[in-house]
Amino acid sequence: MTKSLRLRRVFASISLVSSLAIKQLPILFLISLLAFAAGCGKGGSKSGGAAADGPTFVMGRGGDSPGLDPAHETDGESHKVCDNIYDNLVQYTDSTTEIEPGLASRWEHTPDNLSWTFHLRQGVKFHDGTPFNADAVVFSMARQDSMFHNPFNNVGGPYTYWQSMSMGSIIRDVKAVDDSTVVFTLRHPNAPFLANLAMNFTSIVSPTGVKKWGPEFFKHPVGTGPFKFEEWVKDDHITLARNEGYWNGTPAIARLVFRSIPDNTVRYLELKKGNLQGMDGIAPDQVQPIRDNKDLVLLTQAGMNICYLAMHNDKKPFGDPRVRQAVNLAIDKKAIVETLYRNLAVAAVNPMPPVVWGYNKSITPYPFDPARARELLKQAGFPNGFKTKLWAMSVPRPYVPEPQKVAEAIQANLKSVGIDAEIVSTEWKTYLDKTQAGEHDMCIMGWTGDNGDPDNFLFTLLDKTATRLPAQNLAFYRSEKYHQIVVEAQNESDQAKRTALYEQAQQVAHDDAPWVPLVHTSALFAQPRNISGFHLHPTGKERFYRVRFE
Amino acid sequence: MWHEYWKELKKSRPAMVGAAILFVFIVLAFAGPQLAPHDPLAQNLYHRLEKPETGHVLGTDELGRDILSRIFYGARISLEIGFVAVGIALLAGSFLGLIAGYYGGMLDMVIMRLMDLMLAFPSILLAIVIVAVLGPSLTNAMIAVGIVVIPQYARQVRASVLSLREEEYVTAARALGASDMAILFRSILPNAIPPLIVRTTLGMATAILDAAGLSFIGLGAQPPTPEWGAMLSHGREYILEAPWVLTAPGVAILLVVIGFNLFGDGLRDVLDPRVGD
Amino acid sequence: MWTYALKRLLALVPTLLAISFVVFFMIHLAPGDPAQSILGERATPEALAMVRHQMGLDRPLHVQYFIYLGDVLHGDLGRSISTHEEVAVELSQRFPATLELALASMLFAAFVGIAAGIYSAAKRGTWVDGITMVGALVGVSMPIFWLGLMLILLFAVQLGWFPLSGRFTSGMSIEPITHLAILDSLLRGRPDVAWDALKHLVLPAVALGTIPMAVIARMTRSSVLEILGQDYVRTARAKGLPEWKVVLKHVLKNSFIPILTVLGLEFGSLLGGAIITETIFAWPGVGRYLLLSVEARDFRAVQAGVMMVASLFVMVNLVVDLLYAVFDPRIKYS
Repeated sequence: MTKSLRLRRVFASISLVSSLAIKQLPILFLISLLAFAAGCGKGGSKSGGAAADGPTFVMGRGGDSPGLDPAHETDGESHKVCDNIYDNLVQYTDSTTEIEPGLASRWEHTPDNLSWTFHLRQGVKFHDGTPFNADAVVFSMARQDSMFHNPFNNVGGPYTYWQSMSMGSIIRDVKAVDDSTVVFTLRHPNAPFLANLAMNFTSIVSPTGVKKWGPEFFKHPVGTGPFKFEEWVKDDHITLARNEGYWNGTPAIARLVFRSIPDNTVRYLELKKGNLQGMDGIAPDQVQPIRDNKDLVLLTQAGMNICYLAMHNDKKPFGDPRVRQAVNLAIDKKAIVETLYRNLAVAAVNPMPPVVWGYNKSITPYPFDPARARELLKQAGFPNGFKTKLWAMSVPRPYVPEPQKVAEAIQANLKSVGIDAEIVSTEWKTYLDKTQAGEHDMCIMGWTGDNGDPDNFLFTLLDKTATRLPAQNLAFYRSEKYHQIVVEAQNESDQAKRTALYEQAQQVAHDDAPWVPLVHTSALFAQPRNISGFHLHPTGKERFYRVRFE
Repeated sequence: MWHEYWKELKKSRPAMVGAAILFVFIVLAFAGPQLAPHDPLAQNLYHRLEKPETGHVLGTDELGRDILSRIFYGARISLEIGFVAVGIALLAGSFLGLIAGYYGGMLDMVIMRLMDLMLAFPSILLAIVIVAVLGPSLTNAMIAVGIVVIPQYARQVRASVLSLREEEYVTAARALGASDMAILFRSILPNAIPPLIVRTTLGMATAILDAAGLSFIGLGAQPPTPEWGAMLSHGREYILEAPWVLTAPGVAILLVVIGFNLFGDGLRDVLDPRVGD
Repeated sequence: MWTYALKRLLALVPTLLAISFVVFFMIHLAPGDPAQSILGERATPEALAMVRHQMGLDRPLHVQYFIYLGDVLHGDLGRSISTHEEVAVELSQRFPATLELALASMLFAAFVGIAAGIYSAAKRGTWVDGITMVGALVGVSMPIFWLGLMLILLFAVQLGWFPLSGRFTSGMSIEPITHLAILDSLLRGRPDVAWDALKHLVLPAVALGTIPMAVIARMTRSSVLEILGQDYVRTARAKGLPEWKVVLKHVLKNSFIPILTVLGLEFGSLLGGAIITETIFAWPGVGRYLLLSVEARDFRAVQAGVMMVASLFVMVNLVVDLLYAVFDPRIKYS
């Protein structure tokens, strides 16, 4: 170390000269290389960045973040960095979707559920020194909707999540009562509203930061979170430094680096070599080797998602519920879970995952029973089966890492009951476009929950109003009975009553069988054995502030 | 004339090695389905990633399919890729080159500027955009790989036409009142063919490699098609635990491409003795 | 010669215009649009309409194109639809990474290729020649992603000589000036970082440079063989000049033209390999960026990127053509 320090000083002076004599650069370059080859040998270099007391945690992932403004971003790669820069008024607990205090230390609502008052934590500062207060909360919400006439509503692109979570039709107003009190007024009672305030898009941003950087805020993010933004080399890495004096405890690691390594195999090799302290985007086939590796630990977490096979109820044979039930009986989910998902998923029974409250545990799943499936097909008038098209995306999605292989397995299952399914495969954008336009007979699709409310699965994906093009309800399932139940549950504020309604809705969906619910995947994360303090979260949040080296 | 070329070609050892590889390859392409011990699409999820041994000479892949059978079936697909891609480039390119070179003037200008435009366009990106428009599939990958090399064929044919146009036998044919088409296709084209054969043979090699590259970025053959490039790129996840999954298709591609290159080089020495560019 | 160069550069303008036109409409012909790509599974009709409106995608195509063209003429390439960043900034950060990779791989290709070609020609017919040429043949016949993975397995994992992927060791980086990692490190007085960056550059450069290297080796061999048979070389030998001097003085100089041609052509096709190399080696370059942009239907990014690469291709070939005149006085441009 001392040797390389000395050398560094020597070269610092050399390159000072070199900046005066650019012409000699190539020669100096050669000299310095030779000297270093002789001086340090291989691997002799050490980081010489700014003083950092404490370890650096390097996290490997498949791609870069498009941006770091939590209100604009829509993708997981952006959110998982934002998770560490920003805080919300309320937050999910470390490992459940239950809500706990965040920047709001407590809150209450009026009996009619229309007015919610949040009391803010005192003495919190943004990374740029701006004090956190009620105005910052109002600003963070108001910039996202044109009804508030905030000048930053037109800056930085669309506020997509605010749109897709229909916040404009839930919230009437947001007002600062005093420096540490904010009141949200709603248009109608809405149960999932509080959970929405724990999502990334409602994170609290520094108003000073947004005003200073304008459309560039996405690369100069300022929040109150456990880490501050330090450096970003596009497609290579993002470096965050710990926020000394973070209200929820200063992190033990000095730096948090997110590295983009697109190729799965290469990312795994980097982890194995000890160059990464964490890695996500693990392919099922990498699981066993990671488990067999003494130095590595594999974390799994049942995810808030579903992968399903939708049958277009308007298309010829699938209008008949017997055909849809036959398809449910024909598919060997257990084999798919065991082999293609390597047991890193559970076979799905209902159109929503068990980690969400209101899940109906009493439903008996369709067994794998090809004989019974053939019988049902015969009753429906298809003793010799039929020809159909099975759509599958060509790119991995969080709930289906290997869609092609799943499609092939389903194809083989269907073949054994006489259904001849041709796989139609397109890349993601085309796939969404065409399936949402209803061009498929059957398609593989999935959903990752937003806020942990059953409505976010049952209404969003199967209600008849969601068949409007571009459709979210890809089965084009139009049950009036189902519609009435899920709408009633939306307007009900009592959670016990809502639970009963959602359990009933799941029974209806089970009998009508518009889908084959396939699996709920688990999230995977691999890390070296000497790392502790990291939990995977059902929502997919990746918060590293409690991570430590042992 | 062709007999002489063949005699000449037989003297070149590399060309004969290439010919031998290609012979095996073509036999596989036609007889592969009869020779394959298993159904290339038959999955056995409980026999995944099995080592090469009796029963599965080259082992099984991630879905328990017999790799040897998939390689045998894949031969025909690779041959198809070569033929379709090069066929598109050859037909479109020769046609454009012929009329541009023969008629000259405005037509020539327009065609050749268009060709320059295509040349300036980075070819892989052009192929990616074409596949994005048409949708990812093996057929579309073949089309894209074919389209991007059209300018090379057009330029070469045009150059041949320009040098042949003033040859005596062509002027003679013209004096005898032969139609443009007759001159183009009876007098000029046959003499432009030898260098085209060389380019076509070498082009097969490039087409197979390019299609494999498109498969790597997810825009080529879609499962369960046993295309070698797709097998190789899907197999890379298993490089540590089951290297045979990607070794077999990798070696297959390597050998066939070497075959086309060796044979093409040999043909060049015989048919087109100028140092090629 | 300078007027010739100027003319060639001016001809670039209509080419770029045509390219921008073709890219714009081809991307729009492709199914799916950026709004949908962003919303994904959540594309409700209202959200789609709102996002399309905020991105200006709800205007007629030709209007969008002319607005875009107007912006470009004012030097504004626009903001990337998928990342909010200005396309010019995106490209200027990634292009140097690709340039560094491309230059290193061409250096590798030229040095190794020419050396192997000359050596092989000098030892014509021996087993050395045979092995070199078989090696070159394998080089041009191997899918590049396979080669890349093999290089990583052998040299990074097994032998540990080189790092696996990326441009720097994590935690080591340099405040950019030119975004060329090695140059920036030296300019900032950090040769240790430069050394680190250089080690990261080796494997991807070899992976990307192997095909041009093999082509150049074969080309060099055949042109050296041809020239060795020429009268003036025989004369030089007869005069008693040492063999290496003959080779260096007469042969190398005259075999340079075909080699130069290959260099120019291969440089253009490097981008294809770059997309794959950058993916394997996690190299933050322009090739992978363009691939992702096509997937995201981010037409502004694709247009700007293609125009940039096309200009570069034209300029490299112009330089090559001009160099012909340097190496062969018989060639003149007017």
